[in-house]
Amino acid sequence: MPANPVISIRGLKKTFPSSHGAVQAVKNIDLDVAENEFVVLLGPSGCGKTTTLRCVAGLERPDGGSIEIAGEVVNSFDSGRFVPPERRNIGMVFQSYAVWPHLNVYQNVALPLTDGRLRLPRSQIRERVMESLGLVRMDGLENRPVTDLSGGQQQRVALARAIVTRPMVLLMDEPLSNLDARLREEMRLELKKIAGSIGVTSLYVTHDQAEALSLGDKVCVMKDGEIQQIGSPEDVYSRPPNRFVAEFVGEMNFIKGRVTGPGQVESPLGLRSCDLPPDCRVGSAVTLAIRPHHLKLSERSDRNTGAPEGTVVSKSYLGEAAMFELELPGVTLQVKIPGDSHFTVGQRASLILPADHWHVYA
Amino acid sequence: MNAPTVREKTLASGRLPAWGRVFPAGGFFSRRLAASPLLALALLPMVVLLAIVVIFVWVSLQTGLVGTAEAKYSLANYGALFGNPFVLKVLENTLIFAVVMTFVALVVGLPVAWITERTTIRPKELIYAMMTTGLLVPPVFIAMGWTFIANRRIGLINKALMDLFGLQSGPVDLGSAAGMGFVEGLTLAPLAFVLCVQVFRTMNPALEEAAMTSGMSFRRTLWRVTLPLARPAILGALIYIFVIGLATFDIPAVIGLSSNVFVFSTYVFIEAFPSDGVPKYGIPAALGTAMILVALALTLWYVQMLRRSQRYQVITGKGYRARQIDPGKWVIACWVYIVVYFVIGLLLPILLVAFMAFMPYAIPPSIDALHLLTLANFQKMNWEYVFRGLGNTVTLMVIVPSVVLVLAFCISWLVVRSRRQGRYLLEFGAFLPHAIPRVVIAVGSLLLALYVIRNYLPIYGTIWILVGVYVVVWLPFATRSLNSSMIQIHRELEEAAATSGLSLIRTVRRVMVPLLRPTLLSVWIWSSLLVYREMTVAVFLVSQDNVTLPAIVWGRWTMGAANTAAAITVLMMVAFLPLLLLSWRFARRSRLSAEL
Repeated sequence: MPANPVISIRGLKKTFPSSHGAVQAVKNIDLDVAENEFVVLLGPSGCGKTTTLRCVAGLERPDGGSIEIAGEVVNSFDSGRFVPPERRNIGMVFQSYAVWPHLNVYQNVALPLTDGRLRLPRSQIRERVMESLGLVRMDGLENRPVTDLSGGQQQRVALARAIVTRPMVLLMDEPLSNLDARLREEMRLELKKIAGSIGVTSLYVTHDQAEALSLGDKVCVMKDGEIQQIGSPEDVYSRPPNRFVAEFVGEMNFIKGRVTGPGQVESPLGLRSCDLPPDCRVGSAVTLAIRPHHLKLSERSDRNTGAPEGTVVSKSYLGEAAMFELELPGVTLQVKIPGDSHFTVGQRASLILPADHWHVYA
Repeated sequence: MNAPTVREKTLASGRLPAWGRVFPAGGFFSRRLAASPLLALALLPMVVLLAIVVIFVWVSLQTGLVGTAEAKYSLANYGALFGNPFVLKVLENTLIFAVVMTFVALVVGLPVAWITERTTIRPKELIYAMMTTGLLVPPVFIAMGWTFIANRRIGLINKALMDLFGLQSGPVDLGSAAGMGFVEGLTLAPLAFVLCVQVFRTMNPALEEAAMTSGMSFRRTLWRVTLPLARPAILGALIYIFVIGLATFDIPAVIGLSSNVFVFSTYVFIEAFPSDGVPKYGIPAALGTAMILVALALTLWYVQMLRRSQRYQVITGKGYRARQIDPGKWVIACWVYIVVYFVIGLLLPILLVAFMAFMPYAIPPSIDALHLLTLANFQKMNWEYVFRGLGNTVTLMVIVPSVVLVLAFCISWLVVRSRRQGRYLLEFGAFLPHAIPRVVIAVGSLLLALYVIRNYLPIYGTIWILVGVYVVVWLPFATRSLNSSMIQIHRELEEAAATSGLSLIRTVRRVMVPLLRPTLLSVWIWSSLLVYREMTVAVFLVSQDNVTLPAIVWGRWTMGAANTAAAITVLMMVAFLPLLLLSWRFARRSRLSAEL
């Protein structure tokens, strides 16, 4: 745990009323974000990630717990303290861009400085706005009405507006999800660069695991209002602690099995030895998990190695790789093979299993 | 690239908050707002309305003159509703009147709405202009015009028929419940149009396209898909207009009083202002209380229909509009339909009123009559009185819309941005004045001013009582318009202001007001025009000092000075024209005419 986190969330709870009774959107979340760290909240819709972010922004008032930003308690349920968003040291980028359509690019970015928390003398405003627009490469377009801009440009304006006050904390709520795929990747790289160059502590919400892995210094996977795992992108991808994370981050094959002895699992793929979760006993049902790219196909059927054999039932070409579906007795698996491969649908193939990379979930 | 603009994005996010829908997020603003004085402001008009209704019910439970020693509590007034033949006749007339007018309004409004939005007829702006004019011309003018057209003694048609066939009396009787319903229907056809046009415009074209690609013909699609989809909205329009019909005053008053045909509203009027000078509020109050219940039930039904029809709407900003068909040579029939309505519903009555303004007495227009042309009606006019009325009307036209706008802004913001259950109550409260018959509001506020608050707040006889009542009366209109505009402003635009450090006041000033400006402006102008044409409340509440122009017209008319009334009407029309042009300009910009 970092010594002096810029954002510190303790025991956060938030409940929403709905027509079907109260819904607990966030259940008891603890999270720390260190200075200049980029933390991504990742999860499916309804997992509470956006609610958590909005609580940090002050747009929602939690029903329990506390939030500190830069050492200041901005929210404490117990003491009833609540600092409204306009007095928090934050900048925020919204999913819908939320650039003000009645103002032009320059006015959008300048408004936080003329009417916001930090009111600068007129002479400094222009300099700060232009600097901010320069960072997002929107200089030269400052007199355009924002409604004339493309989605990507609007998002840049929104980002410039969020950082123009040089906030301690930058909050981003699925900022790239409304952009098309290519632009999203481009903006992703740029976003990371900008956040790094201005030195800001960032909290970022997304449901896109590729975005989370590439952006985050730390990724926090959430489900049903609870944190499933916090760790580096490598941790989250390679060492998912439970089946949910394994399935949500990246592609994963799941194979039902049964424990037959210490470190031994019997499954449709035969007997394997692997590390078992602590509470597994002989006879208990477990799930084996393996990523498609750790599997290989072979044309040769080699009865001696005992490699299971199956039929290719589908192939989807992905460009840099191809994804096959192999039907085996009792299980169908996805196999990802890099580069060009000549397997065709209907062909028999044997499956080459790796020695490690296996996960076992109870 | 083909990215959606911000406007489209903001539009795409919005749906009218159907009564009962829960927003998934947005609690922060509700809390900030609920704790602020905004809530007090928002509740104020509802408290006033409640007081008016309470006093009305209280009076209905007493016999004898209210406020005197002979007043006694009893249920006798309610008993009279079932036993008194005169009251029963009034009920029968009211029902016939309301049914006929609803029918006429829809027979005109519905086809015109369909033609306008679903055919390639051009120019649509002209149809909109014609229909919105109909919405703004005071019904009194039309009633007077139609009296000149079809009155049994002086009416143009009857005179012609009598001359032609040598009849003793005119065969067409305008002064019947059905006759008045017909004229009222003509004046409310534009409202039916406005209520229906919305559904044809916003109907999801994919639903019809799906029917077409399933192999259904145009006619089948119309019967099996389009009209069933539009049914809740049409039924909603029907109920909405029927509720108005139950309590409307101006046309039954102008046409019916002289023929001794009474509906609910005019019955209340003659009992409140009888010739012997002793008002008998009891039975009318009991009848009114019953009317409130009926209107309330109908309004709840209406709200239900509204919610159902919104389920079929597309409010994405994708820029597509409903499919339009080419009417081919039928376009001529379409125009004939529209123009015939425009002429008999608007042009002809107004021209006749204008003609009468320059005649010494009521006489059917003819070449012979032209030598009678005179300016006497204008010369003999009590100009001091007319100018006082003009002054009051103008004052009201400035103050009322401004106050309405501030209150409606508070209510809409609380309703649109909050997620507490209380907001439905607030939304319904703001809509309630529509459900309470306007005559009831008028009499209730009269009683309130005369018997309850007279010593604390002596507003009776001043312009302020009109301000108060008008604000309550036009709150539903303003709130609904603002609601539907505000819901289209993405919540994140406000939240972005908050996270940028803007305080609540600055968010309103720098973000909300600029974004809502077209709606705010057009709501202001429309409220102002509606104040301009208002007569029902005025007739009950004005005295010498706070008289308004429509009330003067009404006064002259009932005194038998039809031509003087016509002359004042002409003055009003002349003053009305620039306002009308202004309203067209802003209605076009904000599409407000479709949000009534």
